[in-house]
Amino acid sequence: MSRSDPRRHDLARRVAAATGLAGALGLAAFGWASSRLGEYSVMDMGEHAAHGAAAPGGGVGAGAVSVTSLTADPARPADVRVELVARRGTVAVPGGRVTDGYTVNGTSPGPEIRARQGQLVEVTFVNESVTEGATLHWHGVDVPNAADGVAGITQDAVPAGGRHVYRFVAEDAGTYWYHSHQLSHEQVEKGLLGPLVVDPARGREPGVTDLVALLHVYAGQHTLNGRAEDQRVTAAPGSRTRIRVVNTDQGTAAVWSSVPYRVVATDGRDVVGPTDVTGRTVLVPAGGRLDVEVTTPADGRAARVHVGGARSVVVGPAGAVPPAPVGQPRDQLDLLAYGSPGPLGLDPSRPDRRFEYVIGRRPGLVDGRPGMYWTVNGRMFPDVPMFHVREGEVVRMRVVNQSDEVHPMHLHGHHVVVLSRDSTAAQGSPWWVDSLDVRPGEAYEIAFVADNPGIWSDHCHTLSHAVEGLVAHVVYDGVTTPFTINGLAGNQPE
Amino acid sequence: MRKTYTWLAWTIAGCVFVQAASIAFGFGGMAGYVQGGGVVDKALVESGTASNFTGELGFPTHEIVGGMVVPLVALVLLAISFFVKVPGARKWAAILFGLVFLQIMAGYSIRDVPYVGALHGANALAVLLTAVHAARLVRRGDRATNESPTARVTV
Repeated sequence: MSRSDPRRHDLARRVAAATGLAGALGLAAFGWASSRLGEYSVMDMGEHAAHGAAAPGGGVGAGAVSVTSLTADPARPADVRVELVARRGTVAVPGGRVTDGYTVNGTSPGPEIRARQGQLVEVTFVNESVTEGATLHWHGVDVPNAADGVAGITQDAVPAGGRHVYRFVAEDAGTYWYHSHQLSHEQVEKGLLGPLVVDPARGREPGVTDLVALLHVYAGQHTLNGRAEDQRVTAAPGSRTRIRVVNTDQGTAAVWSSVPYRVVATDGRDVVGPTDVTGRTVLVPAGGRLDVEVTTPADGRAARVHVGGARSVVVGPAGAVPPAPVGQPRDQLDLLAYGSPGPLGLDPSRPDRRFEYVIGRRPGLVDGRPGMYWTVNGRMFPDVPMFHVREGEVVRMRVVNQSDEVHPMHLHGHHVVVLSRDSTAAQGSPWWVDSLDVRPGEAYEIAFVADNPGIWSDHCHTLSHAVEGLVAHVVYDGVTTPFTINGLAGNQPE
Repeated sequence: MRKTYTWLAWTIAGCVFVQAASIAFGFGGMAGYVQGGGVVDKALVESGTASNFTGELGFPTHEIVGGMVVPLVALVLLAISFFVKVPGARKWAAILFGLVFLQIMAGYSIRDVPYVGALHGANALAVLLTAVHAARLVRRGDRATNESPTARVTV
């Protein structure tokens, strides 16, 4: 016979193919099984990512402090008391269709909570009928950790029929919002949210009309304060109006105006030396807030302020004809160079900690589900970094987006100041944020003071991305949590 | 193997039709929605509602078929081409795989450099023609074999 018998070759080939296939299947089964999360604690996540001058994190250790003990002064009586009742059902959208969703005290968005700086706010949250459980997170308010409202980290999800009391001192005047942080991608999207405004201790500026413009898309309907229509505000010629834009959606919102506007605050922090902006769009990240101020034209006409792509606030004297919509300017206001420099209140040149938060994406398995998942520093959930800090430290973080989508990064419990973007140093007013859009290819240097002990999520506020693993945590040494994710309490924060 | 090779190549060719149809369906529907006063912005895109306008399904279809199905099929085609004893099978599977790779890279770059859209559209035709050529290789190989039996030489 010939030296190379084709039948023997075929057999060898088949055996090799079968062995390879069996091996690949075995590996796949092993990978699938090992990616199953089951019940877990965030304390077991990832790796210690401490760098810099300070020694690596000391971990939890004996005498650990539970997140439940990190509260506002329990002996202090509340100045503002509110009861918020969450229900599963339908959301009536005036000017639009009724949709399936969640309400707070019968509406979505829920009622606007107003407090004055320094007051103690006490909110009793009642879950009447949200069967998967729900919580309230105070987005942008640097609350004590026990009141942060993240299911599985700072509390158990409140079951249907249950209640939970949140207490915090409204330390900083500004625009905020509240929303569920249990199954947040579903519950926020369907309306379990509302606005919160903290007025300055000295009171509101006299003569300035003040309103919230909360944006939310309900089942494809763009709404402004829950209505699928524009909003009229009566304001005298020459008077000022402060519009507190709250972006509760999953994507960036654009704001522009038919008259010059000023950005007077970002994420509840005043801008130093704001100047008039004309012919530019300013962007509000998902979860972010931007307070803009406009002056009603002195000639009695009205002004139109576009908030988000679809809705406007029309500001002017009663009966003034609303101006026609104006095209969205292509040029954008860069908040990195807006306003006047001012003191930061921290020294970022000699940080105690330096962290990297590099966002990427690759295919993989998380909890047994194959898909494209986000990565932090090249690692996939739950092996993403834990950023260990100690109270009082100055932390510097470099946030890099190596993916092809924008990520509105939201750090709980703290405000961060932007130092630079792509190596261009900030030149304007200190730009303080809790929600920062990091666009594809961008690298931001930010800094903050670790002044609020606890365990804090640091995640993308395009909430579907958080579900896909774009969540890391800032953890203070010595703090621990008794709560778990995926356990009996059904906690699923994202 | 030869049948599988042919079938996979035809699948890629068919996917090109699906891709052209789905993107036209998507943009056509979106244009109608905008004409009717609808607003498409980042808030809508990320809102998780998939029934804002007719044609909206065209976008995820384009993404899934182009980003997952076609590259996977092209990869399998390349792998099995090593077991198909038809002249040119490997070469054309490799060319097809290269064009698919280029197509995906171009697709993901359109947002940053919209002009790349021209390459993406033209390269789609190259993928189609190459896939059809590869699919017909086997039949042509068979015909050649039938016409000249001496061509059947075990190497």
